Amino acid sequence: MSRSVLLIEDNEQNRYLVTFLLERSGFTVRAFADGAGGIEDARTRIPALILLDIQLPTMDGYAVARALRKHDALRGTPILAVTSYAMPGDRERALEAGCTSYIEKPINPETFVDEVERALSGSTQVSP
Amino acid sequence: MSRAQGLEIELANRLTAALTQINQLIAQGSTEDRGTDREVGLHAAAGEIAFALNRLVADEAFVDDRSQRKNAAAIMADEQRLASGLIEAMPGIFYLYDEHGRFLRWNSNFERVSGYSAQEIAAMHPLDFFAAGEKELLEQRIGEVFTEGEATVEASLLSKQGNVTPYFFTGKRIELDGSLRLVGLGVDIAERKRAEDALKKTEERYRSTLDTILEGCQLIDFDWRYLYLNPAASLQNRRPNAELLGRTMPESWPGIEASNVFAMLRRCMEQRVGVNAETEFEFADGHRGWFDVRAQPVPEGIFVLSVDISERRRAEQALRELNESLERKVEARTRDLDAAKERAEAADRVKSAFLATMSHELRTPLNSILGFTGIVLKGMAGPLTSEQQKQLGMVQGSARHLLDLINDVLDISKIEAGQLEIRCLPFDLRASIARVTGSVLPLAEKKGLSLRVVEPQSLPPMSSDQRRVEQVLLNLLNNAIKFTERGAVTLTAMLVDDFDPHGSGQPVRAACVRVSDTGIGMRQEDLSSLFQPFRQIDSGLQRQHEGTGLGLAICRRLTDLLGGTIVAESAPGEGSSFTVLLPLERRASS
Repeated sequence: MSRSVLLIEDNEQNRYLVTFLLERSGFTVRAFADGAGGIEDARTRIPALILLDIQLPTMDGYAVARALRKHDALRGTPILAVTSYAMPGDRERALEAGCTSYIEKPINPETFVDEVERALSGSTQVSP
Repeated sequence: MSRAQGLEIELANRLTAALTQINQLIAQGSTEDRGTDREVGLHAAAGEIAFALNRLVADEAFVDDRSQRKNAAAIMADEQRLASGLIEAMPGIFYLYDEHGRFLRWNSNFERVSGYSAQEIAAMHPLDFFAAGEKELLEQRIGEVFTEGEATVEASLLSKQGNVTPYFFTGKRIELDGSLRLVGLGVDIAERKRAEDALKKTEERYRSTLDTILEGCQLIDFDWRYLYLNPAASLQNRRPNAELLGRTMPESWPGIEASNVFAMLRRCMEQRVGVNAETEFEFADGHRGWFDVRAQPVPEGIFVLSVDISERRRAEQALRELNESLERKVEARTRDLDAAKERAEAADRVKSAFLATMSHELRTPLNSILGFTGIVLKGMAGPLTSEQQKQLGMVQGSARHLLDLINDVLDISKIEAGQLEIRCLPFDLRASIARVTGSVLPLAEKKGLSLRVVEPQSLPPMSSDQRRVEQVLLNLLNNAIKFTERGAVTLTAMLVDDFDPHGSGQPVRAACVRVSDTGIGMRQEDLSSLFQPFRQIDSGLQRQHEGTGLGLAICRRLTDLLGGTIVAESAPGEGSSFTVLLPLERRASS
């Protein structure tokens, strides 16, 4: 199974943190700071899993998720929303927009990789 | 039958009829309002007697004729007896005197009433029976009888004893023995006088009453003519009563027929019913007044009672206007308040959005702080010295605490903005208790406190928001451990069957979880404000303990949202206990 992960995250430190954790566990990570670049890359490279920040400039995570789901090749790709649940309805909106699951911010370095592995293996188990 | 006999019978009949009439008149004496009729009748009776006496004299010839007959003397004696009998039988007084005032004949009633003897009367003049003030009138009337043939007078008979009795006297001129005489009757009218006086007094009383009462009174006859107006009516009419008395309403008030007042009075006048209305009247000069008018049908026409209520109407109008103005002010104020409320709510929404955004913005850098700290502490980025390990652990602790604070602020702002979602699913409370006690156990152990859990073997599944239930329990446990230096923290769970916090009469089953400690405790006065946000920040005393002071406020709001209650019991130095009651099946949030 491909271990290529597409990361769309506008905060540079967080991009680095996630990339560091995943690459350390053998994943290939391509990281983008905005939705447009990420969508373009996903269409051409078809990653095994997409990590999507919800609070993004210009085009928010929900819009990005909807755009990704429009491509047949990306229909089955797990999309993990990374959100801080800042506002009510964030989770529901993420699932409605096409996300498979979500990871709560701030991420816990000790459990983060496990959560990604579970999503990739198709497990529906998610943290509450 | 001889002519003389016929005459006798006629005279006898006339005298008898006159006597009967006098008797009847005397009998009905005291019915006051018949006085005039009575006097007219008396007058007629006196006329009859005078006629009979005249005829007796005029027919001397017949007497002469009769005297030629064998029983003429007897007949004469009979007639004399008849005349005497009639005169004596009369209830009033009888008198006959000549032009010089010499009494020729009178009845014994006259003697009795006057108190004089027959001899005295024979020597007296008619005017002697009257007080000085009345003599002139009497003299004039007596003269009238002799010149005109008859007269009547009301005068007071002065008795010998000095008693004065009002009498009605008649006088008729007759000719006897070729000389002129006055024959007459007198009846006591004291009773009638008294009745008249009483009536007059009553009338005066009514009139003076009407004159002084504040209501306008007007008596109007069937031709709309003013018969009476009192002074108050003059004030209301704004013109002197003299202008109106004797004139008709339409004459006095041109155009009044078209007014409401007149329509109302016409109804009273024509339909003979009492009417009452408040009505406005416009005077010729443009002045307007409001009157409370009542009209009653009376024998003369109608009686109108009116009260000027212009002042009252003006006061009512002023009051109405004041009310309306007040209402307008209240409305305006309400609008202002609504607008202020909307502004406040809008500001609240902005505040909530700001807090949510800030929380997110604060968490983003924390994400990398906690993330990298974790990575470095795990040795993922290379080995650490024990000092580095220790210091970085402090960074991690502080960062975690900062995250807790941010989470609390976010929670309270969401709750207060009504944006906190409650998601109810079935879960096992015992498992939740195990999870939260497990997570605080290291903290308790670190302080050397024992953490005890007392719970039944099993609890029915709860249907509530597990995450929020655990948040409440975690908060209470953290607090208990934080404020306890030695001893134990105990969590007791049990099932309650009759939970009915709002007195709905429909108790439900609830989970009761009590967290008690052996800590510093609280004063009674602090308990009441315990669940207000930022209390700890306010009370400098407890600032030594880290935390936002939001924990209990969040617990209170969360238990409310879950349909439950939370109460605190404490005393200084005796520890605290917090009891949470949560319905097993969460109902609508309160």
